[in-house]
Amino acid sequence: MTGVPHLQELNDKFRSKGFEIVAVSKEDAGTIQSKLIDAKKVTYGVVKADIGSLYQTRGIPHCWVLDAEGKCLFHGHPSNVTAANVEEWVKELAPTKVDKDLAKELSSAVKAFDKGEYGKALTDTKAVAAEATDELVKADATYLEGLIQKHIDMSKGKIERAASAGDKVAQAKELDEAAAKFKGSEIGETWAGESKELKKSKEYKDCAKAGEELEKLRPKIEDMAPKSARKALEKIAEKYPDTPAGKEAAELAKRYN
Amino acid sequence: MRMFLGLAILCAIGATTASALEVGEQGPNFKFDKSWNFDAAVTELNHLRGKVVMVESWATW
Repeated sequence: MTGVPHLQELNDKFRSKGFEIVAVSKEDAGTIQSKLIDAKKVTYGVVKADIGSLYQTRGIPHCWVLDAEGKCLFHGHPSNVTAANVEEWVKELAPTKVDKDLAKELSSAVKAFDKGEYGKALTDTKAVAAEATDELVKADATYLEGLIQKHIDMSKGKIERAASAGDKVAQAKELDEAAAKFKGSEIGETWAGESKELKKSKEYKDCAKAGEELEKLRPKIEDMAPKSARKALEKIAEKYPDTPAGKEAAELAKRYN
Repeated sequence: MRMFLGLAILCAIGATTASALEVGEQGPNFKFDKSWNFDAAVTELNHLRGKVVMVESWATW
């Protein structure tokens, strides 16, 4: 708990710049509430979860810093994460505002970008670039396209990650989010089409049903006899063996032997 | 049999060391049982994608 002021300071300095702290404890909610939230008045993100087996917790406290794509950039003692480190890391994030004055021809594209309407921004920028004869305008259009490209890469990364995890529901959700962000552009249309196709597939429907069944079962499971809990979980696992929820059900079932 | 034993030992070592999250690897997603100081829509780690996230394990003891 001695590290609390350090984390609070990092949160205050960098949360608005895209840095999030997720302080995880598996202790009960009442203890977290009274000893950290109430007693220390922290405003950074705090979570109750058990990540011991997922992250192989090695001594407490320990932290992992993940980039925009979820890749681990650093792990170690939280006191070794300095403000200078975080400053460097958030610099790599896709900017949400255009950070310099651009040619007035691009003003509608810049406005769209600042509102998060990247599809409109992209289409506008391309139109300006195609018509521009002035080298400065061309250079500014290239710059803006570069900023938009970072958002395209980020969306692509999210979609690919969900796809490689075999989670069709998450994949469709990422496609929908990406399509919404890039509405009014070619790539936005492509993603919207892919989402529509995906939702028609059997794999997607199985994924969705498995998730629903598992979430319906989850709150009841602790009150069930171990044998019936295991049976109920195994039923989901057998019905939907190739879905993330089905696999999770199979894992959970092992606990009720 | 000997090969199997060797493999079993390798797996056991793997389970305690190699499975720990290292730099360059993908941080696994997890759901929040309960959370404080997040928007209601943020209920799992993946909802924070696009940001730099510091996952810190801590305890009151």
